[in-house]
This record gives sequence, structure tokens and C-alpha cells, in this order.
Amino acid sequence: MKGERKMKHKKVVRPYSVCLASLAAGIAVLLAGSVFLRAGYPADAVVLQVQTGDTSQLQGFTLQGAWQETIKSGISFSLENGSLTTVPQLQAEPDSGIALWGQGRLCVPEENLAEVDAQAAGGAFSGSYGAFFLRSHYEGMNFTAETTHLEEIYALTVTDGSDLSVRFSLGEIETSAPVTVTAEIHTENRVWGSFPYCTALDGVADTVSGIREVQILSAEKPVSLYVGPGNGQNAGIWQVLQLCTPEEIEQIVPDVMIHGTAVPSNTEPYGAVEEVCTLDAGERLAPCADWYNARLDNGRWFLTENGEGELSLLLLDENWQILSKQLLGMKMTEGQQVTVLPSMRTNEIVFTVTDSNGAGQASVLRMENGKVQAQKVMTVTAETPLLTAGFSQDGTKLMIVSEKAEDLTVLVPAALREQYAYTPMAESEVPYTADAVTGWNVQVYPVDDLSEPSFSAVLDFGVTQQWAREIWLSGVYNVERNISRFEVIGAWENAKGEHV
Amino acid sequence: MKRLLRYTAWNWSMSRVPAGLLLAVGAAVECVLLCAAAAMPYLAGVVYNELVLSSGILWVVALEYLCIPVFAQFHQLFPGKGTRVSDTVMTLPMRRWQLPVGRMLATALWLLLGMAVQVLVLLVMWGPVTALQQSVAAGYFQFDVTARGSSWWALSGCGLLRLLLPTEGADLMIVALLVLLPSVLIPTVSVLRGRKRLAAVLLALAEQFCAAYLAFPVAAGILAASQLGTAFFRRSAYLVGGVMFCGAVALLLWGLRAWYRCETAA
Repeated sequence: MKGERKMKHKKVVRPYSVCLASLAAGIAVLLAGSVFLRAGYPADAVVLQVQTGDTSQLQGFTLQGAWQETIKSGISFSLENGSLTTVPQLQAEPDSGIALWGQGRLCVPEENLAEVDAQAAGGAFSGSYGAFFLRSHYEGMNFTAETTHLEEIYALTVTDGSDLSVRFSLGEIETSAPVTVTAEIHTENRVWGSFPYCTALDGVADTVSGIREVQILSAEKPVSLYVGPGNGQNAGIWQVLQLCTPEEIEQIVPDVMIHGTAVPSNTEPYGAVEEVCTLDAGERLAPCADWYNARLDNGRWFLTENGEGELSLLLLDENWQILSKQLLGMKMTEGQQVTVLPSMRTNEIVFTVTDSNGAGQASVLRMENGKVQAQKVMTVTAETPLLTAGFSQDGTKLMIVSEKAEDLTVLVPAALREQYAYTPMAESEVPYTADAVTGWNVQVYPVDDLSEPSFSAVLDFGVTQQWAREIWLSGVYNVERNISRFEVIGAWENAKGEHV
Repeated sequence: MKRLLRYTAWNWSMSRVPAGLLLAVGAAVECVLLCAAAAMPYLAGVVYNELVLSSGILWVVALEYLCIPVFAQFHQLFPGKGTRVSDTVMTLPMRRWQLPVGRMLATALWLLLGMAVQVLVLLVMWGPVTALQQSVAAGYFQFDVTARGSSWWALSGCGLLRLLLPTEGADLMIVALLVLLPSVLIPTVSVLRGRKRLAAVLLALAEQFCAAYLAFPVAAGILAASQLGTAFFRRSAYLVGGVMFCGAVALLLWGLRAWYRCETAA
């Protein structure tokens, strides 16, 4: 009886079929998820909302853009002859160049070190950083002295972990007043911690004349730098020919003696640089934070100013050699800044010259055989920052694309503000309002009359969750935060950052 | 081949209770943590990936990942009174190499199922979690999120989901590493006995920990898998990858030696 009952309840397990069914279910879930990622993207994420005119006005224009939400999630879109297409971007953007960190210093030349060291005063220092088992202790000696003879040294380091570096001299400077220089001797971490007498440029830039400004123009290989005028030298464009590894640097750089201790020299150059293009006397590159988009189909372009604010267009070939230089008939004043915008055609140039609040002028140029074929100058305002502009294929129309922003408000509970911003509040809720870009204004004008657009529309993205997040956290921490999710892609590259 | 697959299925099936329980409990804990995070006013406006990170479910996922191989071979590793496994390489009509391979495949299958369960949790929970988050945010936000395709933006921006659903070669390599590493090491653990097994378990867990460490920035959405060899993560990625590779080779050789030297009780 007992045995029968046991037999009755005995389960028949069919592992093969159960296992196969589980495998099939697992694969089905993973496949469904993958299909959702690839095919479930919102094809209508960007919508063209026409306000005036009809889309036939968009014939002859191609505007491409990208909406990058996270490193691996985004869409690219293209408005070509009035037709809007979107493509999902599920892969990480390739790096647009090498990660670089540049630092200029004024150092005491090696031949003067003994003299400066003899009159230096200083003492021991010690301290620690980190906590618990990560706590590190440091100690050493530092000395300060004053001198009027210094050498400008610039070092450029790759910050991708390889620590490749180049260091070169920009000439010796005789200062009118003595400059305080410091040397440090660390008992540990000798190579990177200890240094002979020098001072950072930041502290003396206003008092010492002749310092040459250095700006990274291209982080792609070969790395190109702009070296400003000064110290009797003209401005020019330099290229990095060789970067050294930390091991090579340790072999190349000799030791110098500071108060009887051997310290690696900070003036010995390593690696190699070469000046590939020299500007005229008194000429310098116009102040611009980023020349990334300054490209043409046959090379690069830059704007120079001659000391009186007159802007010239400098065209360079692929090898950074000067092709031509022409006056643009535009002037910039003290405090103004050039912003290079991505152009919609590979033979067009777009830039703005604005003051600190974003108001000023914009210029669109169409180039042909190295000459300006057409130029249009327009006014830009701080309220609607210009994103790009360009001529139609036949050159009869001009498209202007600017940001459309909305005011968005959140009510932050006072308890959160108090907790995260350490601000005592009397009210129970604190309003916080911020501008959020929710679309682009697209306007088309007849090229000879910019008073009234013949076509006006909005490329609408809507309010994204990222905007809600930024404004919410801005409100909680009471700190202004800004995000840039939508960008115009220049005609010289595609949405993946590849050259076309 | 058929014998190998049948043995794999049998081996897999033996652990359906412990491994199934592990995945079910893990999923339940994750659901609770996600809901708890969504109900917090501070997280009212954040994106899904941030909610996933803030909820702490990555710790649960990591713990599950470390436990799955042991749970997938639970009865084989810890035979009880009613679950003693009585097959050996001498009793099963199979080639000697098919036993470890069968265990490897069974473990890989459990890891694959774990991935599927995790994907399901993230996909299914997006709706309720977002609704809960919106109900908390309703009193604070004086505007609506109007961007189209909110589910796609939220899920495609979720680092953990993107790790489990690879879209580029480097992602696929990380997932393959996460699945294959413990699967390859589990036969070593199961063939050894006593203190040797304890040492092998600890080493295998350290190996898995290294793999999880490499995958963490991808799961958190900080880096793409293709960026692991660059930027700030470069040195530690190479170091951890190197240590992991050497350790895995050593364990594998140890396991192979043990399989060929002893009569193996499964």
C-alpha cells in the first residue's frame, strides 16, 4: 500500500524537454530585447512643425544633427530637401581625438639654477591625503626665490593612461620685475613630485609680457598647436612629431641639483615639435575656444586678426600649409569671441563673433577655388543662439538654424533643498525655473532680404526626461546645470564622428 | 553528441530548484528595491538608469552573478541525503571529456537564463517604476515630459540592460567573458575535494569578481565596452584583465589535471 502511494506520486521529469524549453524562453527574451532596442526606436522623435511657408522652400538644404542621450543611446537625423529621416545610434561614439592636457610654466634656465638656488629660502613640509587604508603620507622640502630671467616651457601630456608627453621651450624671457619661483623636493615619488624652480603661467600672465599663448588646434594625429606671438617671435602653427613614454622621459631628462638633492630638470625638452605655418608679424588667431569644425573640403580654415581687430580668413591645406589669406571686412572688438559653427556644406564656413552675453554678428561664406564666392553677415542675439546657417544649393536662399528654448519650472520641497543644498528655507516649496532647449528654429530667407523668412518651422524634440532630471537636480542643489543633447553635425563628418 | 546534450539537460535540471530560487528571490528583491527608489522624492526626476543605480540593484545582480555557478551545480557540489549523485566517469556511458563539458554547458545555460530574467525584470519594471516616479513627481513638476519614445530612451539608456543586450562587438566580448569564465571554471571546482575545492571556489569567485569589475562601468552606463581600454580605466582594466586571465588559465590547468588523474564521482 505504502509502495503504491509512492508510485502514484512519483513525478516523471523530462529534463531534456524542460531544459530545451528554458533555453528557448531565455533566448526569446534576449532576442525580444535586442529587437526592441534596434527596431523600437522612436522614428518620430524629431518632428518638423511648419509655421509659415511650405516645405518646398527646403529644397537644396541638408541639415544633419544628432540627439545623444547617453554614451550608447541616441539618434541621428537628417533634414534633406524637406524630408526628415532618423536613424538610431546604439554604439559609442569614437573618440574625436587624443585626450590631451597642456601646461605652460616659467622655469629658471639650467645655467641660472645655481645662482637662484643660492639665494632661495625654504623649509620642510609634510601632509597626508586619503582616508583609512588609502591614506598616503608625503613630505619634502620647498624653496622659494626671486628671479627676472625665466624660460617658458610647455608640456603636453596624453591623458588616456599612457602618459605620453612632449615638452618644448618657447624662449627665454627677461621680466621687468622679479618673479617668485618655487622648487619642491619630495622624498617619495621623485619623478613626478619633485621639480626645480618654476612658476605657473596663470599667476604671472598679467604681469609678465612676452608669454606665448598655446592652444590645441587639433587633437587628431598629428596633434597641432597654435603658438601665439611674443618674445619677439611671430605666431604660428606647430605640429607634434614625437611623444615620449614615461620611461623614455626618465632616460632623457638629466638631474639638476637643488639644495644638494638631485631633481629631474624641468627645462630639458623631450619629444619633437615642428612649426608648420608662420603667421605675419602682429597677426594672431582670433580668440576662439574650439576650432574643431573649422574644416573645408580641401583643408582647414582659421580666422586671424591683425591687432586692429580686422578679421582675415586663413585657408590651409591638408598638410597645414597656407593656401591663401583674405580680408573679410569684419572687425572684432576687445572681449569678443569667435565661435566656429558646423557648416551644412563642405565648401561653406559659418562663424559668429559675439561678446560675452552671446550677442553680435554671424557670417556665412561659400568658398570656391579658395576664394569667397558669397558672404552673408547677419545679427545674432543672446536669446536665440545660432546653431548653423548655410546657402541653398543654387545660392538663392539662406537657412538659419537657432535654438528654441522653453522655461520649465519645478517646485522643490524645502526639505530636499535643506538636505542637499544646506540652505534653510522658510517656505515648504521653492520654485526653480530654467531654460531648456526643446527644439530648433529653422528659417529660410531669400538671400538678398533677411527681413522676413519665406519659410519658418520648428524641429521639435519635446521636453526630454534628461531635461526634467537636470532641472530637478538644479533645483535641489540650487546650482545651475546645463546639458547639450542636440547638436548639428557638420557636413565634413557624419553622426558617428567619422570624416566623410 | 546526443549523450552530451542529454547529460547537460540532466545536469541542468538537477539544479532547477536552488538556481531557480536564487533567480526568483533576486528578481523579487530587485523589484522591491526599484519600487522603493522610485518612491523617493529626491529621485523624482531622474532617468531610469539613474534609478537603477540609486536603487542598489547592481549589488544584487553582482551577488547573483557570483552565486549562480555554485547554485547551478548545487546538488553536485553539496550532495545531501536525498540528492546524492551516483554517476561517475566509470558508470556513465560517455567519454571522459563529456562530463566537464556537460557541466560547463549546464552552468552557461543557467547564466544565460539569469541574463534573461534580469532583462525581463528591467523591461517589465520600467512601466510601474515610471508610473510610481511620476506620481511622486506630479506635485513638483509644472511641465510634462513630452519627448516621443520615452520607453526607448529610458531602456536604451539603461547601462545594465545594454550590457545584457550587446549591440557592438566589444559588448559581446564582455558578455561572453561573464558567461564563459564561470562556466569554464566550474568543472575544476566540482572535480576537486576538501580543502582543494575550497581553494578552487575562492579562486573562481575572485576570477568572477574580476570579470564583474570589468563589466561594472558598462553596467553603470559610465563607459561603453569599447572604451574600457582607454581613458581613466585603462590601467586598472589591463591589470585586472591580466590577473584574471592568468588565474583562469591556472585554474583550468589544475582542473584538467584533476579530471584526468582521478575517477570522478559527479
